[in-house]
Amino acid sequence: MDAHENNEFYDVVSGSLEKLAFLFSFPDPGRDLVLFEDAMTAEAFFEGAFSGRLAVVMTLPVLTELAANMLGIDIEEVGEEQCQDALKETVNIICGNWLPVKAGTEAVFNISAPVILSPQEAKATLIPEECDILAKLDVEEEYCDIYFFIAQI
Amino acid sequence: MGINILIVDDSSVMRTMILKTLRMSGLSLDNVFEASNGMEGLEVLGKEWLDLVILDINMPVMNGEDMMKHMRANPEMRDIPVVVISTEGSKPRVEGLMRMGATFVHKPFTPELIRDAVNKSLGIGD
Repeated sequence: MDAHENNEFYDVVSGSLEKLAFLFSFPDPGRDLVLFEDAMTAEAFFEGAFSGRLAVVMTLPVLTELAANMLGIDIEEVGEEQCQDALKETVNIICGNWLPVKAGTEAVFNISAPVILSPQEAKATLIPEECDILAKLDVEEEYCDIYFFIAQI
Repeated sequence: MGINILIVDDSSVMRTMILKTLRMSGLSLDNVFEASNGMEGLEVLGKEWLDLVILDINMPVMNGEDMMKHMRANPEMRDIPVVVISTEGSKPRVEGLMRMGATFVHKPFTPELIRDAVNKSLGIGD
């Protein structure tokens, strides 16, 4: 991954969060990764011009804010199911917006329905060293990591 | 009299967002129906009189593209306007949907984009 592609990825993620839920984010590549136990994780698989998966790991306070902003309700009214649904939709939107940037708009991809991963599943399958892109963002004083993998053929 | 609308998206949060946006945009809504995939959407279309369908593409069971093909092949549904709201970024696929008569809105969206797409589909403001 080159620096230009890295910047493009950050732009897609930041733009998605801002348009989706008025959340402002900044790259923070120097910090530690979010612990899966302190966050919720969702991922989606894609296949087409190339195959792979994208996962978003988001700490719970900002995830609650994301869901509240998407739904137009108070933070206190947000339940776990709404957080899960908001995170899955966020994965879908980031993945759907990133793939045409990466592969061009002529490429066709099928994206699977996003699923929630348990902390154990996330720990076992989201290996930083295997990522093509690993973006660390600060979002409203909380944290969000995005793992992007391209499957090796 | 308001419009009858069907929102088809597998995300309940997104269905709520779309409905909230439609209400914010000043559209007069009458009955609002929701479905979480294309198959459920077709079932609603078979039972209810609808003025507009708002449709996602990537959904389990039956995706939006297949639902739209079914609609266009059915004389009772083929003329119902469709607004596709999706993350789809593939030009060939978006053009295919537009050839079937859909108006396309890319996710994430602004209220203005939804309002304009719905007005265009319903012929409001022409």
